[in-house]
Amino acid sequence: MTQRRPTVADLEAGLQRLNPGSGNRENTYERRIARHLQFIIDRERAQLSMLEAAEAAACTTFNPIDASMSGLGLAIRNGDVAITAALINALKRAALARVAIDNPRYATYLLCSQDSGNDMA
Amino acid sequence: MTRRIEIDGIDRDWILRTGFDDAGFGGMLDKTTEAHTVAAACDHGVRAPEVIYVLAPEDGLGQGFIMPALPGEGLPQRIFKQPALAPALEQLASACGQQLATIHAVPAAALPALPLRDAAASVDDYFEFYQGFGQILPAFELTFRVLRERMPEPVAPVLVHGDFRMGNLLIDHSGLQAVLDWELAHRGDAMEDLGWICGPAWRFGRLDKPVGGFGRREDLFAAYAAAGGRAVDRDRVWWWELFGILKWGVICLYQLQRHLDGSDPSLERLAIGRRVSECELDMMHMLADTGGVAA
Repeated sequence: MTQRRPTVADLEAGLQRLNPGSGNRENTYERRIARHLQFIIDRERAQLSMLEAAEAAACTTFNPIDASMSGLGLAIRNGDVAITAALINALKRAALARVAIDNPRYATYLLCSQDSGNDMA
Repeated sequence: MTRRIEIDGIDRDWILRTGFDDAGFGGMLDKTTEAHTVAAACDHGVRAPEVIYVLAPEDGLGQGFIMPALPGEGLPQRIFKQPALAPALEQLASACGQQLATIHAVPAAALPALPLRDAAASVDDYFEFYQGFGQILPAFELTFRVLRERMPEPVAPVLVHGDFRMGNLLIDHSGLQAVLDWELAHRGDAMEDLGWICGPAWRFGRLDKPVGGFGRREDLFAAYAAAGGRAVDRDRVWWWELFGILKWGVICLYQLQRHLDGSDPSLERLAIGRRVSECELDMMHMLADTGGVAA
């Protein structure tokens, strides 16, 4: 099984196919969403390496046998990886790298970004 | 679908609530059952809209019901921005505690047949939904495992609103006017409602106010107990708050899936799909912050 978030390709295909028209209120809302999605695409292109590094760190540290996020997920599901504070913090750092792309204005992201401790290390 | 309507000869506005998500996700009630649930809650002192008419087949509108349009504001960002509502917000956590105690006290005999959804069933149902999307996300897997390992013991079920949060509360200057949107009502653990309203997504950016972005847990719990609600089990509330974050994440995955499989493609569903990471962050932050134990 593969991880299946909406990829940049999905977002671009959606923007092309569902390109909002002009005029009515519904399309104003749709245009706002379209702008939001374009910002995500732009941020992902700029920050993808940081996201991949955070995810790779989690995977190679806790499941080197199958150092992919889905491999780590399966290992967690099967109990092959112990749930520890270190694992939680590694997944938190990976999630922070994702939210930095998806929505850097999200409140929890802003809160964690203010912490000078281990959250962003 | 909720629409404001007029009825000839009656000088006030009404709300017509119709429709049913036949995708069946999340256990939504049909509108007839929802109507009878709202009516029973109203009859037992809950601040819920009065159901004045339940649609019949011969009305030709499908399932639905009519209730009076009530004054007040329901949109969270508008509520938070209006200075006139600030005093009401200061008391809202207590008001919510009182209302939840009242909801949980509605006798089963007064209710229509509602699904029973305890902690174990909830985790199993949402794991099944999650698996169906074909994704393996470590943060979700870890949270499912924690929830199973810390599963609370079953308790006597009560009426649970199921979506008690800002966005489903009608507020005016005098306080909480009505609890809306009962389509996710079921029989279950009273602590579920107390946990759901504390979810980070329902604080609308106000993380320093754990209860709905407007209040403290202490005020919510104290008012709940004082209003005759059962004793608040903070470990159980913690569990349901964590489950609530995961549940919201699965709902986001569901919305994304409806775009990806072509059943209901939209830019909005794509955008929601990119909110899954917020839920992953919230789950890991909660576990890191509380050490996996109750606050």
